[in-house]
Parts: sequence; structure tokens; C-alpha cells
Amino acid sequence: MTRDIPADEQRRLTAHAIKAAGLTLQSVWERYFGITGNADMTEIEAHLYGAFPLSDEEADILTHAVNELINEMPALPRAPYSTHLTTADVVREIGSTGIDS
Amino acid sequence: MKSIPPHDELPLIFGRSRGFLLSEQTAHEAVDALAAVARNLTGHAYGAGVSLIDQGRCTSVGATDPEVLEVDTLQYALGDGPCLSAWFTNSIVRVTDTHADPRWRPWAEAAAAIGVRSCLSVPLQKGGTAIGAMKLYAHTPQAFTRNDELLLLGLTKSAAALLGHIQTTDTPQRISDAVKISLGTRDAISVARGILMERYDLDGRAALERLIALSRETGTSIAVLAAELYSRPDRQHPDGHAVQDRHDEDRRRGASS
Repeated sequence: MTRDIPADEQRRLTAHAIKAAGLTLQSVWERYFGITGNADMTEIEAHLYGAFPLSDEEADILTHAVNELINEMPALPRAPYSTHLTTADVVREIGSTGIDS
Repeated sequence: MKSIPPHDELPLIFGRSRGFLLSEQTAHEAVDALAAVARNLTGHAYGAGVSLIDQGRCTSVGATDPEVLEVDTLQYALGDGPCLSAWFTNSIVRVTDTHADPRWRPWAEAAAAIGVRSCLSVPLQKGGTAIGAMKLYAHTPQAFTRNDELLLLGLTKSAAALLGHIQTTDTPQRISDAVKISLGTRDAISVARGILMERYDLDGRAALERLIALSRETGTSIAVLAAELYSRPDRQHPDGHAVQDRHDEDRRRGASS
């Protein structure tokens, strides 16, 4: 299987994702290890700094571990509107005031 | 690449960054010694101790004296006093004379009756938040100097480091559970890979890629997918819908986050 992005790009963006999501190395490694990753925590840390190459397979397992953890993070709270109007409500509203047609 | 760590090292690795490797007894003994150092180095103090405050529950550790415990317990019972204040405001509290200090009158009067005239209390900090306070009590008013404050500040750093790393009683169990779960999911994923390899004539790498692709499409964790394949080898294959349908709920949760 050939790569779609260079290994170094994958590594850099994985490190960026971990940082942006505020994940700890410990939690990443635990998930990575749990889904059959074989590198130890020091190797993962070195890899993320660009000092230790992982095989494509190990790099993908690491990427997947990070993405699973990000998927499991609680969503940010959303701001509520003054009403719970739906599109159908709006159409009915506009229809009844005779603006449309 | 090194092979995976031997299993007897795993709890250590899992526990390492969680900082849970001190037993409560070890930490308390060390804090007892620190409290004794605090008392002995400040000539005027008759006693020293540490209050730990966690979710509204106050406990005294490292008390050098029964009187220290008594004066501390008074604070806890009254819900007010210099150590609780040091903890709450996260700043040093000095009581130069319990006869004259207008703050915490009920405590000050009771303490004075026991013979405590002055008190110095310094918050214990762990990562910016206060977890308690370390205090010195003296029988004389205005017993403590600026040097005593500096000494106590230095000791609180060590005490906080020790107390902040106590493992709770269920920690070894939790670490051991985490290791077991990890080994279990590793095992399930390996078996799932084997099933896919056999069923679709794939090599190991391709089987893993298929699992990862399915996990990405369905927003379901790879461990859950593997458990599906593992427990129901005769069910639909990973391109199929049986597995997907079972994870509708997971997928919706994944999509909304």
C-alpha cells in the first residue's frame, strides 16, 4: 500500500492534533497500546518529535488512537436561540402572513 | 523496534505518569517527619501539623502533638479558622495573638483556652490549587518571624509534592484493570485481524487497514468492532451492514461530537 501523504507530514499533523486536543502522551499511548501498537511510550514520544521513525503500520495505529480519543471528547456547548423554530415553522409563518405568493 | 514490554512491567508503565506510586502510609510518614522538622527548626513553636482538605472533608496528618490535633479539630468543627482560611484563600495566614485577633473569634477563644497564642499557616499547593495547609502553633504571642515563614513555605512544597502523589486505595486495582482491558482489546483486535486475513485472503497489514477504514466510516472504536467480529465470527463481514447497524448509536454520537 503506497502512502497518500509523506510519513513526516503524518507525524507532524498527528503531533499537532494531540497538542490541539490537549491529549496527554500517557492517554495516547494507552489507547495505542490497547489497539495493538507495539512501540513503548518513549519511542512514541521520540517519534512525535521526529527523532524515531515508526513503520507505516505503527504510525497508522498511532493516528487512529489519537482520532478515537478525539472522537470521544465531549462536544463543545452550543449557544441556544430564543425559539426552537424549524424550517417548516418558518415556511408556515411566512405563508400565513401572505408574504409569499 | 523493541518488542512489547514484559507483562510485569506493564502496571508500572500504566501507573508511571499517573503519579500514583506512593502509598498513603509512605507519604504520611514523610509528612510527619517534615512537620517535626518545622517544629524543631522554629524555636518558638510547640507543635506543627498538616491539614488536608478534599471535597469538604478535613483531615489532619503529621500532627506533632495531641494539642495540634485538638486545635485543628476545633477549626474543622467550627468550619472556620486560620488553616481553613489559608487553604480557602490560598495565601499565608498569620495569627499573632489569639487574645487580640478579631478574626475567627470562636476558634481563637477556644485555642487560647488550650494555650495556643499564635499560629502560622501556609497553604499546600498542588498544581496551583490548594489541597490543605501546613501550620505551626506557639504558646507565646508573636512567636513567628519572617524566617519561620520562609522555612514553612519551603517545607510545604515538599509536603504538597508527597501528599499530592498518594495513591488512593483502589489505584492498584484501577491500574491492573487498565492493563487487563488493554491486553484484552489487543487480543480481540489480533483475533479480528486473523479472521479477516483468513476470510478474505488478506495479509496482516491489509486486514488492519480494513479494520481502521471501517472504524473511520462508522465512528465506532476499533476495539468495539473487533469485539463484534471476535464474538460473532459468522456475522456480516466488515464491509457489511450487520456490524454497522449495531453501531448506529455510536456513530450518531461520534457525528455529533
